[in-house]
Amino acid sequence: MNIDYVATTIAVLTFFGIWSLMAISLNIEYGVAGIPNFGKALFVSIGAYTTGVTYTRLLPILAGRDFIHPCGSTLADAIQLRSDIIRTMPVVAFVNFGITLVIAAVISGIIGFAFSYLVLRLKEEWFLALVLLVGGEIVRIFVRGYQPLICANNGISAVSQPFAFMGGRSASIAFLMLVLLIAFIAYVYSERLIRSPYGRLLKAIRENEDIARTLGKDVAKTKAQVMFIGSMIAAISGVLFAVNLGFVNTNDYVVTLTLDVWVMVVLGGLGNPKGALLGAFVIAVLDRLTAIAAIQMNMAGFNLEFNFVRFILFAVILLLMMRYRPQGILPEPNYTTEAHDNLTARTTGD
Amino acid sequence: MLELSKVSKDFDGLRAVSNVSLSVKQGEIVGLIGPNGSGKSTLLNVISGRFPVTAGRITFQEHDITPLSPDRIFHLGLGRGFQDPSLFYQMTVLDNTILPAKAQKGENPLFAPFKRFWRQEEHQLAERAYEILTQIDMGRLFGQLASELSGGQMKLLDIARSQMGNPQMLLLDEPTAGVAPPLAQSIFEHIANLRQNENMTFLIIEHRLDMLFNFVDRVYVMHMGELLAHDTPDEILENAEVREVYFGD
Amino acid sequence: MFERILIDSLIRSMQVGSLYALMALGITLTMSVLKLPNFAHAEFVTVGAYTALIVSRNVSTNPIIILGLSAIVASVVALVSHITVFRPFEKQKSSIYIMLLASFAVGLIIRYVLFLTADTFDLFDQRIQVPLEIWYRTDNFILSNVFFWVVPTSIVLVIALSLLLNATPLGREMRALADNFDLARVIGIPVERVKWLTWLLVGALAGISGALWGIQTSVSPLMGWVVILSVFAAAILGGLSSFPGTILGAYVVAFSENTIMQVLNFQFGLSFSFKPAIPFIIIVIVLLIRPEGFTQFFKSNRSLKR
Ligand SMILES: Nc1ncnc2c1ncn2[C@@H]1O[C@H](COP(=O)(O)OP(=O)(O)O)[C@@H](O)[C@H]1O
Ligand SMILES: [Mg+2]
Repeated sequence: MNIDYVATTIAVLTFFGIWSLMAISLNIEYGVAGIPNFGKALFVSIGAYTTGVTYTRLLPILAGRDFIHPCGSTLADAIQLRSDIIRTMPVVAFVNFGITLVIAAVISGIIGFAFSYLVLRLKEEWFLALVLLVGGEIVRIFVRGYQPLICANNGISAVSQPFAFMGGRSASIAFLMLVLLIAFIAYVYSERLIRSPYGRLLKAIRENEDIARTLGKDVAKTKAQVMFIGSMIAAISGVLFAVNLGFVNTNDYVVTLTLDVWVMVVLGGLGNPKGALLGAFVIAVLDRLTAIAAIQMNMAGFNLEFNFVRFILFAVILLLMMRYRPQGILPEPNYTTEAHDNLTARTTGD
Repeated sequence: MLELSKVSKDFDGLRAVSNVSLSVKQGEIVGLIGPNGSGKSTLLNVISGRFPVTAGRITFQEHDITPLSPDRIFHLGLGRGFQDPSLFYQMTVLDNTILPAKAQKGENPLFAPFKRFWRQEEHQLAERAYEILTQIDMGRLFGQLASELSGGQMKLLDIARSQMGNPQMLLLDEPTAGVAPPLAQSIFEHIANLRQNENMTFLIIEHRLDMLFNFVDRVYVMHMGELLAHDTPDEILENAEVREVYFGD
Repeated sequence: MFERILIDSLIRSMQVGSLYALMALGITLTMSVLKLPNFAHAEFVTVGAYTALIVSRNVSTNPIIILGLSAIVASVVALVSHITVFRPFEKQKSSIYIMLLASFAVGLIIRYVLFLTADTFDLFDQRIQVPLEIWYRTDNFILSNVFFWVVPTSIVLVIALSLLLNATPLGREMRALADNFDLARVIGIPVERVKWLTWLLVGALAGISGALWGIQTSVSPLMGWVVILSVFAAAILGGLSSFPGTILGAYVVAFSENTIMQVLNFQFGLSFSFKPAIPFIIIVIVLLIRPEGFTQFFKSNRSLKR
């Protein structure tokens, strides 16, 4: 079989961009602030489900067309409608996409914020991990069970990315650029955040929140802010994830997605945004390589589902990293604000 | 300035502090002594809001601070140090010192990514922190990680750090524990200076009575969670009960 | 009609609840003695089920042999996980989140090795070959010997486990570890040995419950993962520390998933697709509102303290 190297590279880089966003958000939450968010799938899924809803409800309105119920007997017509609009009315497609990003980010941010206050009641730290994990599953089951939202088990297809009107390879390249741009903004934001007084505050809370509190810091509020930010970024990645695949389906937002993001962050280096990028890149490449290997093996007549190997591989990477290099490939540098440089300059100048 | 009335604190049925009433006036340095396990640290934790009280009422400058969280209490101007220095060991001495500064613009996640909002402020805070560090002879250490300091330096930094929030009053828990005598002496001199120059008030738990008594106006003695006595340093040593719990005679 | 459905679901609740109890006791033991929220427990269960499947096909259909071998294989897997993964992390003083992640990773590895095995030997959704006897049947309701395997076996095991914990030196040592780890070490309890035995015990419990679960339904690589959060819900209802609380929790979860769900469906038309949410809702509510679970009902009991 011929491998289309260009298409593969575009796909890998697009996934890298989307996963970077997830990794960056978990890196801010756990790496920097010490909040164990085991509900990444939940916040990513909020982005995806929002996409499912806006593409079926908002898009026709924006295009001035009649609403067609997306599920059941009118399914084919609804798909046709979406594809038509996206193909022929790029402006509408973009406006719809932009609104989707905003709505998803806000809803997800608020839910993250609310969770963080809810969990103040928890007796033990790790219960937060469990509550977030379970929260994701609850949302998933309800979305899957409640037909009108995204047609239950069937999901919503034809949620194309906004550049689809360009068609072919240029569409994927344009979308890739958009994804990388968003990821880059998130990266720069997190990098700057860490080197600011806010980063100092987060590090203090991570190290000893009790002491931070007695030194006048509102720890609950700060953690809620972090959850707000992290959940917003995660939801944005969820929107991108869904429109990249072209469909929304509850089966994509399960616990293993959360674990994938943890693998990226632990692998790259907790607390270091560059590490989050590196982790996302390695995982994107490995993910694609295993997928290609699986296809190749099937073509070659092996009766082995090589996709299963992916999970084993990632789990082994996670265990080995935590055991032998817990700080990750790129350890957290000792961030300081520029005040240090100023003082150094002044005191050595004296 | 600080007023405790009938404050008690239970841990799972164990009464660590029982019915303690005391008061500290503006500008005073007051000692709090008592054998190990008599409830001194617990009392400090209760005042600073780290542990909720079981019963009683605490006021600070007319505010009822009994139900307040530690950060609110700190913001009212009541700071504290810790018995085991609880620094942020993964941060530099300078960052440890700046952190407690109040209302930093750069501590807002919206402004934080943009230096122009907080560069100026951060610079001033750093200068002030450096000044405080210089007072205790630690200026040149500002770039070191807190985990690299010696035990005595950690205690010093613990005090210096709480100064950064401009407190009117400091609660200190054994500020010279595990510190060599000359350094202990200078820690106390630093405290006396702070009272003199910045009109700060202190409540200090301390085991080094000889040193403590040179600096304090009054002393409270705790024993098994209760207040046993209260007097000037000279008189308190004459108190038979105190001599019994303290020196066993 | 309704009565019949009700009775059917009650019997199902009994059966499922007994198995949840067996699995949840394993979670409670790991949590209190080993201080680990072990998500890989799910896969220990699946390993037990696959062992039962393979034994029933190739070795013997004698239930004692099936259950025994399932117990042995799963306990070996549990012990190997401890030695290769959990113990090094303990030594490293890793945080509970790292331990949690490690347990997920161990679970994933076992799960997908089973997937690969099942894929190679075509072992998806297979039934364990035990002689099935219908004891009682009506139009829509069957009572088979499976019920009389599952429920009494579970009850016997639970009683045996309680005896072990309360009346043997090992049980005393395990409770000491649960109570105060450092103290246990100081007073000379052979901590590592007790841990090994605990892992073996936990694995055996999981293995047997997996075999029984497989006999009741069918065997697939995801079967443990599918029920693990129900099982955690049961253990959380038991405050993650109390044995009687955990058992009660198991029946409450099973009852909610089957009987209450059945009633909600029959009376209000609630779709069965919401059924998996029940244990999750239980977990969230209990953790937020009553994290001690049922433990207070059993204060006088000599439960495992944490
Ligand atoms: N967090 C806590 N939980 C339970 N008991 C505590 C706690 N902190 C202190 N205690 C108990 O309260 C009593 C007083 O301790 P403490 O206030 O530290 O005494 P001191 O500082 O005078 O040496 C001791 O018996 C101690 O064991
Ligand atoms: Mg003390």
